[in-house]
Amino acid sequence: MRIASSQIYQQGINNMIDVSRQLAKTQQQISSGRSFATPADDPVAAARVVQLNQELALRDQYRKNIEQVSSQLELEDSVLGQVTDVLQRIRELTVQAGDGVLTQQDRVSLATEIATRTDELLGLMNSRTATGEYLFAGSRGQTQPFQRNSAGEVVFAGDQSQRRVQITASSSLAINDSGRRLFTDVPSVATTFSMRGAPGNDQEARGAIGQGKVVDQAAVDALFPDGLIVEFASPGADPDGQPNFTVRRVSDHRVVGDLLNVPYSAGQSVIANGLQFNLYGNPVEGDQFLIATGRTQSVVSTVEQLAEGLNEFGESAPDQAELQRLLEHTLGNLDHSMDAILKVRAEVGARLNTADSAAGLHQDVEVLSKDLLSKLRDVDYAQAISQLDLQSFVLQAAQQSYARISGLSLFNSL
Amino acid sequence: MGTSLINIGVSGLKAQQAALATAGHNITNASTQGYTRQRVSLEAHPPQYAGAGYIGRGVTLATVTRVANDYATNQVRLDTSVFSGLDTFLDQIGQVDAVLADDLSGLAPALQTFFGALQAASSDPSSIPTRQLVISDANGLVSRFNTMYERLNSQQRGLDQQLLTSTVRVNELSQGIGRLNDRIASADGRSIGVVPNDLLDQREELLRQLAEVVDVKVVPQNDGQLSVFIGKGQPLIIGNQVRALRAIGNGQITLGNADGSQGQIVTDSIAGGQLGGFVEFRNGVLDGALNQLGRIAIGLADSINRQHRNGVTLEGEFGGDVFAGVNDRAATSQRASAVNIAPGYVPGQLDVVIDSPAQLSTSDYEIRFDRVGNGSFALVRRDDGKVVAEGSVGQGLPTSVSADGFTVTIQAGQFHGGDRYLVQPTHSGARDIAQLIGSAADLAFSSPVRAGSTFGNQGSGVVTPSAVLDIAHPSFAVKGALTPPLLIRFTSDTSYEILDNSDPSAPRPLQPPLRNLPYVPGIENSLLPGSLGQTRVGSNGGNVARLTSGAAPTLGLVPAPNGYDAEQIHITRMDANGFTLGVQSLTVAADASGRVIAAGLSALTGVSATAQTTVDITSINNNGAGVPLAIVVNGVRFTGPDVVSLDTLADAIGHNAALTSAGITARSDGARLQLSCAYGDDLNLYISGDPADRVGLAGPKGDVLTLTGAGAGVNAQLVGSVDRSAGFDFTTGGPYTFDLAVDHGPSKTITMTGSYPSGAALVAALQGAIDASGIGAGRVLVSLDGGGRMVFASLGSGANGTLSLAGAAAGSPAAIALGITSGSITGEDNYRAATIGGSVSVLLDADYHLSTDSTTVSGNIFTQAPPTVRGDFGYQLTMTGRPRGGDSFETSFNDDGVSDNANVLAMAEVQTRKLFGKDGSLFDAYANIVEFVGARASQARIDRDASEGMLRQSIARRESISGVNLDEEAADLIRFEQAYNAAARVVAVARDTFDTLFRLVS
Repeated sequence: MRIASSQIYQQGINNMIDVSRQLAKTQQQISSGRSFATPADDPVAAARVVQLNQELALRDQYRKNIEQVSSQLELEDSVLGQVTDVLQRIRELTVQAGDGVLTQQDRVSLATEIATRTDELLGLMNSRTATGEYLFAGSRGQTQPFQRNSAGEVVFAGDQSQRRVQITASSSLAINDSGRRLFTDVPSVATTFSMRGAPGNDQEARGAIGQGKVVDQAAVDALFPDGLIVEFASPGADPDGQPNFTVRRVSDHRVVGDLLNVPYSAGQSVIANGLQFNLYGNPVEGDQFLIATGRTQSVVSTVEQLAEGLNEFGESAPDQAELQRLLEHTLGNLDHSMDAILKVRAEVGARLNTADSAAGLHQDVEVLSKDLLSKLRDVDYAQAISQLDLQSFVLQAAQQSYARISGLSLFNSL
Repeated sequence: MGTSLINIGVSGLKAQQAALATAGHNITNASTQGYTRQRVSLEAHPPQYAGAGYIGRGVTLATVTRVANDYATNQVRLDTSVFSGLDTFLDQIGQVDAVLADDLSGLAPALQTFFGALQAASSDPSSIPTRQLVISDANGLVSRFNTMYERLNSQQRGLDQQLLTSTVRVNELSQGIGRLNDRIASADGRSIGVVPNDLLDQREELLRQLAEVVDVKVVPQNDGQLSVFIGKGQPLIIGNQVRALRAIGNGQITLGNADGSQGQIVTDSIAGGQLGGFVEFRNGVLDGALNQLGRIAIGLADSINRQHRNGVTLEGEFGGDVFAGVNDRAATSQRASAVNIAPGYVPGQLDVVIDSPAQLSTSDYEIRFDRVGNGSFALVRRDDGKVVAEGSVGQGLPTSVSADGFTVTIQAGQFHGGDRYLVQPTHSGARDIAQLIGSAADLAFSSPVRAGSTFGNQGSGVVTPSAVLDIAHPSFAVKGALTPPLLIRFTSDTSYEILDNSDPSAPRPLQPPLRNLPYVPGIENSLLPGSLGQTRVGSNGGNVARLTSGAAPTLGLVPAPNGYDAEQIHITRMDANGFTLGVQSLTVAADASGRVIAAGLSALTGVSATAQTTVDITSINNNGAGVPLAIVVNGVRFTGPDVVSLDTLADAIGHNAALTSAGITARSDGARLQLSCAYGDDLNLYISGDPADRVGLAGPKGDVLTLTGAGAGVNAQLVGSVDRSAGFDFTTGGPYTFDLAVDHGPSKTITMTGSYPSGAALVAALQGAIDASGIGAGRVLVSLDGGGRMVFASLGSGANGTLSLAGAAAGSPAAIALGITSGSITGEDNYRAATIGGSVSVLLDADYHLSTDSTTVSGNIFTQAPPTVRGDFGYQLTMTGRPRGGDSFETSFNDDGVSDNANVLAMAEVQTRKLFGKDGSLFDAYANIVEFVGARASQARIDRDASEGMLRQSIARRESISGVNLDEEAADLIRFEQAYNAAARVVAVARDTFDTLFRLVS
């Protein structure tokens, strides 16, 4: 077949161009370390790389979350450990107080140490994390969870929600525990009660309820799970026009005993259904105070009642009997408190374990993913370099042969 | 003399000169683009007749031919078009490919950083630095979207510029070809079939260059001219008439008319060449890539916004939108543009609103008005040409159509048949996305609802707020509070009620009340009934829960009717436009109890109903001393110490197992006793006693009723079956012994002896014997009735009066004598009755409505069209664990709950959620774009390389026919030079012969 002169040159050049192009591509692969420069080189691999990157980033994030969770849970665990130590010490003091040899003075000094321990306990219960959030306040992280109200009692001002954090794509861990569960809702030995003013009470009147005491345990046991409500009625109901109140049962609003329209004076002590409490301030008509019974007692309550008892009970026989009962109850309640804390610590331990194994899983999968990513994306140097050699050789051959052929022409011989 | 040698020689010289010239022409044009080598063809002169034969007269030049194969030339032109188009396409797509591939400038890293910040915030939601990071990463993400849009958009603008340049080039080349056509047609020698070779070459070369720009079809005409057509047969060059191509913007190209006016749009029919490559890229790749990118932006913004709105900020306010650009006015009004409208009119105003990103496709759409011009139009999806919706402007504006996750609203304007509008829902999504939130405190990471247990729970139930369904619900109407806060109280281990806890000291039932809800321990329960879309209806008709009493006292327990008329209740299912889809009817019988009505309603589809009954007893007055006061509640009788006061009655009811298991409970606060039945059965109350005794009742709607005692009832009587008016003889056939007990007293034995010949004597004797038996004088009254039959009657009446006979089995002497067999009987009281019927609370699914055909205005159980409230609460709670009866849990607004992370967790989950249905998550969609563009680019590269190979081959073939081979030409030069020398020698010989002749003569 006839070949035009232009074709001879053109073909030679075409071949050199083609080989140069391939050579350039190989060179780019080697210098960038990537086996494909753009997705066009390998669209499926490119898409897969996007997905793998996303997965790696996700796992990285989960690992960061796990670190956060672990450090906070460890903090919680250590605080709970310290709390347990304090409770242990108080338990020892309780046992010591039961010794018949002690005098009132001895008991008072025990009470002093208990008071110090109580402050320590409160301090621990109000622990904060490194970022300044309260550890046991639930979702009310900026509010101090255990505060004294106007009646001097320690109440829980946080809430019960647990914050969860994602540690794998399908599971999350709770990062905190509410102080309510740890310290307040502790099962008690005997039926207990809690008192508070209703939220709608007149703030200026400074009405308050406090110093509650069980005077007839059997009656209180019988009242459970019902509660009492103290309602201040209109002064008109009283023949002298004085402030007066009525004590009713919460379940059906029936008047308790004869406590209907009882005249009120500040600081008055009331006994209803086996419970004794004092009312303070100048509550106005419509103010309400709620007394709920329960089978739980907060640990601070237990400890403070112990201190109070040690301070007050004298040498007389009934006092001694009361003291013994108090010490028995206190031991039981302290044990329950330590149990409650132990339960949560066990859970915290389990969570830490879960976090650990999740971290291990992430690590393993990360290694695999990085490996796969590398296979897809990184160039195989051995192969690339041998390709480079071959292509350079071919290019050289093409250039030299072109030079040779282009020199041949009949005109050289004319 | 023509045959003279010299002439022959000269002819040879001339011929060889021409041949040499041609060879020289070939050699010098060896590298001219498009040159076709020429060959001389020589032929011998016609011979001269010289008698004995013909004598040749030498050689002459016949013609100079072009060695060209039209087929090969055409092939080169075609392959050039194809290659050029693919090359252009590859070049353009390569740029997009590079944008997407870059790790630094791609979208994936920005998305990952943003979601990483959200995850970090979920560990520590109240920390300001963490929140600030979310804001700055959101900013980074938005600018990444905007930048990528700008890169791609600027490529689009660049394309428009290229189109302009290319059409100008086409026009230049067309002009050149037209002129050449002219010259070739009017060249000399046309008539004898001689063609101007080099002009043909030039024209061919221009055509090839034209083919580089656009694919052409060439048709030769008779006079040597070539007609050129483009696209689907539209003429570009005819003779020297040239039509102009113009790029009119938006990627559209028009072909002008012969007279120079603007013609029709030919964009879709152009293929091949650079123009084809540009158009293919713009429509096939660039638009698609922008649409997909836009869809990701819209999907992200919409999902994050929706979740963010359901949370509360650090200040306790509901979050607004995080991102703008989904459905703002600025975005919605620019998603539609006019493509082809009637001349002289202004484009109409169209808005496109995104309804649901999950259903968005990545295609563009067109609104095509029917050519008929009656205002109807079709919404067509461009990718597959399917009509996805139809509408009409004939009914008035504005009018909307929806499809594929968006709604197009035609707001205003004039529309004519044939008008076309381009609708691009997602095209500018990546440009429109912008950030709205600037301050860290405005991020809403916490849930608005807080839930927890109240003091003193014994069980292990744990409640958590699980979702916010609708912040527009009345529950959230007041800022910073739930209206109402709820109290969830467990009445047993497996049932609970929901109360309004606005006043924690006195929780009240809701309207309509929610009681007796089931709880399954051990699984996750959703506590609040009702889901989004459901509505609740309470019975509020005039007859419902009315105290009705029997007209007169009755002996024995005969319940009063509850006052409900018969009626029909209709449950209608309607769609959003009010069109009825179905009706179910329930016939309620008169006097039906609430429980029966609720059960009947629950059996219908889309309905579930519960009922309950309440009534108050306001006073008990036992004034009379005669008949003891007794109160009967649903068949259980309370008397004596139980009815001393409301408190005692309430306690007694509470201790009665039969009533408790029937769901009947009583609560008394000393002033009022509230009696209720949890299942909605009628409450039937009866009072028996003296007329001075009274019991006060009050119904829930305020009606009051006083029941008074009905006086003594009847005593217990045993009646014989034998006529003893003739007396009886006890002396024979004895012993006649029987036992008798009366009025709950002890049983005494009575023995009869003696004979009594008359009825009266018999009666007296029996009376005496009984009185003396110790049973109590006068407690049993003996008499004969009208038929002489023996009658024993107790003194006590009503339930207090009992009479029991023993030892008189059938056939025994005593039985024969008295005519009465052993047995007991109790007296019957006289009662006044009152009944109250139950109220019904109905939960209707979405689209279901309740109505009745009650004839009275005030209605029966329901009014004719009773008012509805929302069935859901706007949020949901889940509970796990095992609560105990008596436990309660409360919900309230999550004030100060700054460490709550429920909402940010949900926002972070958007990262892995399958936002686009089967198209996967955000990252899947992005990987899709990368793969889509990459695959197209890869394919384009392969195609281009293949077409390059084909082009090289066809060039080689053409060259092998028409190309100059220098060696060949060199050989020809030698040959023609030799021939020239030979012809010159002939001339020399001719001169020699002439010289010889001359010398002879002179």
